[in-house]
Amino acid sequence: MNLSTILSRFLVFPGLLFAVPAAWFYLWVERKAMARMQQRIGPPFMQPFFDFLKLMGKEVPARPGFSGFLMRTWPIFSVAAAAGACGLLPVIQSGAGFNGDLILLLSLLEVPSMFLIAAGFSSRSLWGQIGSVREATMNVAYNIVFLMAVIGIAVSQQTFSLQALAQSHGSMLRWVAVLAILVCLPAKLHMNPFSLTNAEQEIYAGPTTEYVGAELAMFELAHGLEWVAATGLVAVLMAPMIANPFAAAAVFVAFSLLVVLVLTGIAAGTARLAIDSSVRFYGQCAVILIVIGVSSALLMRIKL
Amino acid sequence: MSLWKKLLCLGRRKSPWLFHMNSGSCNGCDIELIAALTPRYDAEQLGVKLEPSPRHADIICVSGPVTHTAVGALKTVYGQVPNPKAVVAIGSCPASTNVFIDSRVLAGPLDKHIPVDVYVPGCPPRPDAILQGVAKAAQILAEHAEAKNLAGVNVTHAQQASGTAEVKA
Amino acid sequence: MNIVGLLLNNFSNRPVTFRFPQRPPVAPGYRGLVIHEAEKCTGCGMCAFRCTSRAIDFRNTRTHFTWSYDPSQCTFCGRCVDGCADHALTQAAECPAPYFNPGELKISATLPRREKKLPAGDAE
Repeated sequence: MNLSTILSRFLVFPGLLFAVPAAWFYLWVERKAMARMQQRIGPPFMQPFFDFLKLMGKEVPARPGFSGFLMRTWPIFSVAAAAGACGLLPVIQSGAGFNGDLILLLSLLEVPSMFLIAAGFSSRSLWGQIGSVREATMNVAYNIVFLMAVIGIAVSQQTFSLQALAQSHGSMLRWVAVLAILVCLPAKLHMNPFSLTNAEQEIYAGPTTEYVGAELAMFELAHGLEWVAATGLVAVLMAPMIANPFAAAAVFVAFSLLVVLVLTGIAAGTARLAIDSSVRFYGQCAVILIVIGVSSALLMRIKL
Repeated sequence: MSLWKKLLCLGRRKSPWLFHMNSGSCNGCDIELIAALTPRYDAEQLGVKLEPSPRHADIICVSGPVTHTAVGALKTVYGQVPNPKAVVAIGSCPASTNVFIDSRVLAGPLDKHIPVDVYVPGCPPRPDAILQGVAKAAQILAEHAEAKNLAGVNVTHAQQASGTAEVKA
Repeated sequence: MNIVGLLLNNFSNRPVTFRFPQRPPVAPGYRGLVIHEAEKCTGCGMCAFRCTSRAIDFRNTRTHFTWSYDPSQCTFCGRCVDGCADHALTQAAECPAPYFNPGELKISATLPRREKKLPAGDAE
């Protein structure tokens, strides 16, 4: 685990240099697939990149006071955390992981939604506050399932290192956990049926209502990076580990795009659920997951 | 023009985000605007997104003759949209109050209150005509963004061509 | 599970959208901008009387009359076309294009007053 490997992972692949264009590409694939499923044409290639350019050129109003200072910092830290989460993914077999980087990945994946909630409150707007409350409720609900699924696999393999988890053989438990993570991803990425945070007809733009220009561009970029990191996590858990780095990268991107298409299909075919239905759904998932997953993980540890 | 400015112009032309404001309309034009987002006309092929918050948008699409109660809201929303911005008047109502010309609740056509860039005639205009108007507004944003960004001055395409500029707070 | 079949169907079919500058055909009888034929107009002023939104303005002097039409005021209802006994007004069968300056599409015509031609065989 030397400095050059770490830097190349965080800055080049799958870190910043790969993740930022990949974020725009995955967002474009999502919008285009959604459009095709609705028999429309959809946006031209790399449309999120043009959105980013346009937003960078907008004039941002003066933001006085401490809450204004906070408003400016939330987006940048979201982007940094999401890019860091992308950088931690064990795509290429190298020695750059460490025992416990699973915990770091999970905490970095939480940061964008935490900071979205904070942004809604510090923007001092009614719609921002309502959107943040909804996002916070949804966050608690899906995180129970998400964290239980990931910790379940980790406990069964007796390791917290992402590299080891990716390399271990698949078991029934792993597929249950992948399914549970896939069920949480629509809520994490604000897609139907759990897109309550983006409920346009109800609360304008939710937490990002007062955001303008470059700050909004950073939030959209953080959202795209969250897509890359979350779908990448599912992809490394699903895909077999290949020795050749280029083949491994290609397989990683292919599996991520598959997950993107599955999520888009779910989003195109469902309607938005209200907050009580969403929380109840995740509560039921959590109960099922406790019964199947955690108990079998513990059983595998006791080696019955 | 430097590379960054060229990229910004490209972005503005290819990604017009709309905010729709109804200032007393009969809803005919609003329905046609929503129809422009349906699969048959698909506004998203131009990169158009209907944004929920005025702070996210570049182009304000206004429909309806401006009623007295809508004037304050209209000016607030216009102030909230960040520069550079463009205004599209949809239908004949904002251009000239149309059939409601004798009404006592109206505060006049739209260009009395905010500078208008593109007028889309029709009662209601067809969705493809609205899309044409939005595409023209995106082009105006891309070409005249410099003029539109001068502190506090918002120059409409028409005034730009005739060489006059008014300060509209 | 019908929705899955529907989505896969949509995905594999061609999109139904009109690609941008292409527009759908206009139905016959579409009511667009009003076109005024000066040769047929006798200056009766019926169109201005019937207009619902004062888009047609008609002014009379002893020798001339001025007919003007402001499309930005027009609601394209067609009452003027129906009311014109000389059939001097028709409506274009296409959508008017977006314009940039207020009052840009306004047209007006000043014509000398003339006697209305009575149909042949009208007994004195």
